[in-house]
Amino acid sequence: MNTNGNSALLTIVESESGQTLTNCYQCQKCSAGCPVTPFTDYTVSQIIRLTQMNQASKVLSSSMIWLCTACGTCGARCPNDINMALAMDVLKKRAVETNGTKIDQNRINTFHSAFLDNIRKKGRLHEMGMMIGYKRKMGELFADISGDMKLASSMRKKGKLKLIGKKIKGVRKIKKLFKLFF
Amino acid sequence: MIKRNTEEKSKNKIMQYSYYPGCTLQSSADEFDQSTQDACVALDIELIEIPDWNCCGATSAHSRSEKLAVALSARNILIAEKEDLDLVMPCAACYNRLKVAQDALEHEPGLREELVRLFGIKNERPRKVSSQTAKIKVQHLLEIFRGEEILAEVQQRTTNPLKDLTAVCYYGCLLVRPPALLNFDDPENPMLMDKLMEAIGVSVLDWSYKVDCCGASLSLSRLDVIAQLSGILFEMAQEAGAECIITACPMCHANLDLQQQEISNRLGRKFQIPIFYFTELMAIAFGVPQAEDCLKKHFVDAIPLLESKKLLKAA
Repeated sequence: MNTNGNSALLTIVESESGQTLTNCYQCQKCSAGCPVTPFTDYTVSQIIRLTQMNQASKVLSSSMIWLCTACGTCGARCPNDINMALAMDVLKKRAVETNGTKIDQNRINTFHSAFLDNIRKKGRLHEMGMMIGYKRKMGELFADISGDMKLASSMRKKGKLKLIGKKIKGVRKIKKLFKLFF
Repeated sequence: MIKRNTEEKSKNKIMQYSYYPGCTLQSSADEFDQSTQDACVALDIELIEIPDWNCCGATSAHSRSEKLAVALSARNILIAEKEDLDLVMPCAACYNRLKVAQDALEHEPGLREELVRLFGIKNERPRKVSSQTAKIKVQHLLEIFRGEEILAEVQQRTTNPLKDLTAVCYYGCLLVRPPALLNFDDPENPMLMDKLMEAIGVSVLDWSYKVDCCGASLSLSRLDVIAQLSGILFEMAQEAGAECIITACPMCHANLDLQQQEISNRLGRKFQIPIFYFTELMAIAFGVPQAEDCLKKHFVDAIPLLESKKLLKAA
């Protein structure tokens, strides 16, 4: 990781997310309410502090930025109106750019990639296609094939799994959005 | 209540809305779409699906590119503006993303013009409002049931009140946060769904987990996290004395219903809690003949509970 990137982390996060992390005085209400705190290496308030200190390598390799479900509890309770879910999105993007993700966090990132690949093709989500895409990307297409088939067949029986997704007429516009903004 | 294009409306329709079902309601949450349509028909609310809508982008788009996320959802809003009716959606996730996009369309300089040009969406009959004002309202389906007047109407149309059914309402994250932007209800103790369910006769209980996170889109990637977060919802609903949980989000429903067996296995606890969409209970309360079909799509069988209360029509 280059030092430029390191020193600029706080500036980047604040400008891209529109959130003033500098205002945080570590009351830790965010961490107290955060549902994924038990599963992460750093808490939300620690991510804020590390970002203030421009500790890019620690922040960008943290499991917190990926496990954050964007539930928004931290932001809703923050006395300084810092919506950290928005900052977490910027950190995820930055992490992908600097290859700062570890394998276990990649699982979540891979899900997002599979989801986006899927909607790019037809403009709407085709759930079955997305699930197959995710498993393939993870190299787990056949990892639990009997379990997957069982779930797929019971979803199919209940009319909850469409074999073919619907393509929208404006799909070219959707593809263009991906080209421009992704 | 909205009353636009009054002359085009048939007289018995009390309300007319543009409708955005969203992708999930066309597959794994098929029963949410069906019961929404059924409940609205019973209330003489007309839902008109907007043409050629696309995916809102959900969690994945904003996790990777905020601009992409906003643009995806904005396309649906621009299409709906052409239809000139307020837009409703039953999915909490779509609602959240479309509200974010609408806010961006209003406040980000040049964004509206850029996207209108990009999509080639021409609005032939722009309403006479300043470009800084929201042209249509973007509302979650629950929001059209705000206020005494409509709740009285709901109560009046209830032919099969769900008496003796004890439930907790679960709102999750995406309906209430961020509160400043969504302005849906009290972000810590929302009551909109509680009141609607009470209007159809449900005994709604108070509990402290209305707006806690179920684990959301970690469903495929980190089921261990889902098991803990959704598991506590089951425990707390039971502790409150609820026989079932009522939701307004297909993602919450998938985690709580479809994954309930797996969560039970992982936690070594046997949960058997029916999870309803609020619209399913409305359809039953309004005596919609096919209302039971939706329940057959659940993974946790909800029919025995309703049968034990004699709330389902004899087959």
